[in-house]
Amino acid sequence: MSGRRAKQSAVKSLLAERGWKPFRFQQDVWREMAEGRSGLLHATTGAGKTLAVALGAWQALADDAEEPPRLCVLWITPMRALAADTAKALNEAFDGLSAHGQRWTVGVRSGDTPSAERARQARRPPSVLITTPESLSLMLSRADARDYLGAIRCVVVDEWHELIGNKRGVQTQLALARLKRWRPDLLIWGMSATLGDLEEAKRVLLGPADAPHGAVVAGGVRKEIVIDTLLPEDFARFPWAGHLGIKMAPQVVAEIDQSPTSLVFTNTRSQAEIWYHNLLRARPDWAGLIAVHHGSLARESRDWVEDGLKAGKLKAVVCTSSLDLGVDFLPVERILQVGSPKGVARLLQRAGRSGHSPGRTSRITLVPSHALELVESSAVQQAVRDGRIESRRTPNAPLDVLVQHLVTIGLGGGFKPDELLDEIRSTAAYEHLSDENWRWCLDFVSGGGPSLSAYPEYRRCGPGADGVWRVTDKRIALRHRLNVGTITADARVLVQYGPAPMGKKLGVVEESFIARLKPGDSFWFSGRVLEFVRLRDLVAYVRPSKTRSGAVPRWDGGRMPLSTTLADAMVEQLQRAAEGRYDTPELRAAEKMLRLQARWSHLPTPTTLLAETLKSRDGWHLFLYPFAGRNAHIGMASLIAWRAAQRTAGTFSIAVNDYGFELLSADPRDWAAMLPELIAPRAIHDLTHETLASLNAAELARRRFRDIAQIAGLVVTTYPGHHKSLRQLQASSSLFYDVFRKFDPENGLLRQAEREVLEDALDIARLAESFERLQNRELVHVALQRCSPLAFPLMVERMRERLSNETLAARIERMISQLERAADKC
Amino acid sequence: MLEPDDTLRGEGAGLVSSHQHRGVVLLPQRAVWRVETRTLFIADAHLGKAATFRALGQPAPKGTTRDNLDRLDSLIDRFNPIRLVFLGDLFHARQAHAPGVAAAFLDWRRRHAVLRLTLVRGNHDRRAGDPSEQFGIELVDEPYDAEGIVARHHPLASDECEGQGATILAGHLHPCVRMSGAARDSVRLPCFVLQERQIVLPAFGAFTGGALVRGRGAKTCAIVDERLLVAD
Repeated sequence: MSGRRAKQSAVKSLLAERGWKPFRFQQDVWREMAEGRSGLLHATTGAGKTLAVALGAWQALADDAEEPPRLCVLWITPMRALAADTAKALNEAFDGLSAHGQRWTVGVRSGDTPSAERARQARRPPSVLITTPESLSLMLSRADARDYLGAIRCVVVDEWHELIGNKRGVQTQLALARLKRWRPDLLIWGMSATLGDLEEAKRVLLGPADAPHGAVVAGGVRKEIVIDTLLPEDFARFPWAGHLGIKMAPQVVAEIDQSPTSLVFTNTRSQAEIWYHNLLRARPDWAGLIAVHHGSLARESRDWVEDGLKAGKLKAVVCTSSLDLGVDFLPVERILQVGSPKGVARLLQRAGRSGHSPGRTSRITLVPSHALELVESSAVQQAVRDGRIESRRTPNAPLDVLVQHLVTIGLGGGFKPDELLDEIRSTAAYEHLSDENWRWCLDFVSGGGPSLSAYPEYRRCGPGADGVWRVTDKRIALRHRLNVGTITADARVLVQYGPAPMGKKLGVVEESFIARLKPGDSFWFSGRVLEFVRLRDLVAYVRPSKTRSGAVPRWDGGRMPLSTTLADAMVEQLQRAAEGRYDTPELRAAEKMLRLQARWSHLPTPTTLLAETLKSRDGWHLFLYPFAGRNAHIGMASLIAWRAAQRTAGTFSIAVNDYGFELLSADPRDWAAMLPELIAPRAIHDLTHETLASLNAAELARRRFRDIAQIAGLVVTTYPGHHKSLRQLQASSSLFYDVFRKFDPENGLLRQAEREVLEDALDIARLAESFERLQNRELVHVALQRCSPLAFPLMVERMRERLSNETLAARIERMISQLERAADKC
Repeated sequence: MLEPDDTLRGEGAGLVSSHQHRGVVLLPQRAVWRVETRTLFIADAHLGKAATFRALGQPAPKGTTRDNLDRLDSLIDRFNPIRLVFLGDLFHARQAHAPGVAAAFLDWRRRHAVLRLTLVRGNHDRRAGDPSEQFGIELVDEPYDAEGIVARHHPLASDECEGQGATILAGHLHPCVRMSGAARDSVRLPCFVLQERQIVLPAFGAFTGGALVRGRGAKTCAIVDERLLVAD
């Protein structure tokens, strides 16, 4: 049966037994894999990608041996939750094939895998191992990594779009480079349903050198997607700002009522808890029929929800991005998206969670939380009709991930720097890693900053007599394994019923939230009201509360920026409004607010740049609306504040949203007179100079350093249970930031924090481009009499950046004089 | 959390170079000076904290101990004390007694050989173990009577330090206060906490964090660079 033809017919008869015919794209993948080519498979959700690649691997790699092969295929999934379902699908396929050929076994290895199962896998590896990027890194840190993983002949990366643009993807790229070194003919296949730029996605997956030889297979199954908007019943009283959208709850209840099973997506975990609470309050009879699902809930409660969804027992689940990915919930017919979907790709991904099988229709309904999101809804529909989807780029050479990787490889058999450098530079992320940065990383893990004396007792990894770099300290090995990964979070506290009798674990919240509670306070979590009893060793003991209301935890997590694709589409919608063409239901619903904006101020359009100024009790405001997405706005706002501070020193508060930003000065500023100068373009050289200078005055780099410090292993993440031994190592990233700045200013991680800000928020090239673009637009300045509908959400935004070039004493003296003025009035 | 108004209410709020309170002088150099007995009080130096981190495999730069000792030097040069009382947590952990830190401290000690040193043991000192005898530090437990001042590491609860009696100096909390003003400006500053008879000192160490002062009735005296912000 070893012949290609025999295996092809085995697959055909397997499909025929189930009454299926292979799709064209599946056959394409099988052919490419049989010919030893790697590639990227892009097809709609539910089209049969998993079978395409799994059966392709089997056809390419199965042989005549009696025994199933050991660890032949590695299947990487971005979510633990997906692993079990993928395993089930693969097992079914391989069961069917075993009548016709070699029987393949399937195993799952993730953070949830019990140690007995891990030991079994080590003794007898399965043919196909399903794992996450973090667990793969952990396996690479085993001393016998090469023996264990060196036999792998094929790697499949599921939901590649989830990884390509972030540091988990970088971690994956590094791991793939490692596996490829051990096995140059390694087959690598990525799968996705929502990618904008397929060639770029393939380049990052396969590496710049190998990508030209790889294939791109696009699935031809067209999927019907219906997108509509739940319009507020009372347009006039619909709010201008906010993010909860709770006013829409009665209508959402009515929609849920009409469909057998719905998913209600929210953008944050707190929002999910609040919506669940409100739905239940509206329909107490739905207790047990609706549920809440997000990343901070205990594994068992998430499992319960997922099983309920699969079995069709639940009417609705309020969830976050925790249910964005792959697991098939066949019964789901309807998606409701509360608040902005932030991007076209994300909207399509979520839409695909309904009608999840070939031929069925996906339906997503947008639930706006404020008036401008009505315009966004109109814009996103237009973008989908035009086929405009965001493309994703890999992060560029992040040193924190590299430092972590060096320790991983130092544990996993060690490395010779020159050989490892070649391997690392073969990835798209580190293609342009400079010699200087590489040397810095080696210095850093081996016990020095730029001056070796800077870190005398410290050494994580270093060369032995044979020139191979290894980690020898067992404590470092243990701590490294606990902290592998690039997903960062604050210290987490376990929420559990107790202390006496000790009860169920409910999930985790951030320590900073619990720190604000007093015993007896109530809070909402996991869809229940809980009374806080006390905190001990990172466990918050709770009991059911007798009250029906309480605080809702806020989880830290970066807010997604609106994609530029969607932002551009949105300004086009505003242009229609400016021309008086209120010709979509959403625009008609937003008409009153938009006309008010036009009357009090002006509507932004693709050819104008709107600037509004206002003097209020808080100070002197400038509002500017470039519609470039939050990240770009942070950069522009910092730079413009910096320019303003060059005339007279000052302190500025900066608020941004996806549409524009606000600069607020405590001292008088004639914004209108300064504007042309503030937004003037500069030569790249001068712009770079200005940007670096503004960075030191702003707190952006400090904030960015938080994540970097954690990934690089500076800040030891505490886990319930591992708490005590690490107590003498407690220091906040902010403290590290200050200490490094003072005592080791050349530290590469500090420079990375600055560079990440420069790249994400203050990307010089993009900033230069943004400023150029501003030049091409006609500046329209309006001195507001009162806050405009566009300015309002910025004015009430509480999350703010600050930029100051005044002395601390000057700031304090102003605070004192303000207090005195206030006191005089009393 | 303490409202800035509590700190600043009343006449004459402003920045000063030192502040007299209950017979001692609060200094923006994160120390308390008592002129009658020519004694300096310092809390929470956490010497060797960075060295501890490095020994446990966490990178932390060199220079923090040097900085701590240099700042002690300039205080000594300026006030010429005959006595220095450490209000606990002089050394961070057992690993802080590393050769580098010990040598630096010993060298500093030799340059101030006649200075009387007293350490009121704090929670970190207990875990770290008593410092070497050659440092010439007198070791005591709290509460300790330092010639009429009650020296502690752990502060008393606010209701325990009401009424008449000797002034209490303590550390442990690493207190900080948040100040805010117009245009949503706000800064976090290390501070002294003044509660009835008790004064809690800010942490002296260069590698120490801070905790916001909570609770009503506490007055604070914040450090603004080289000056102190006082209420009355």
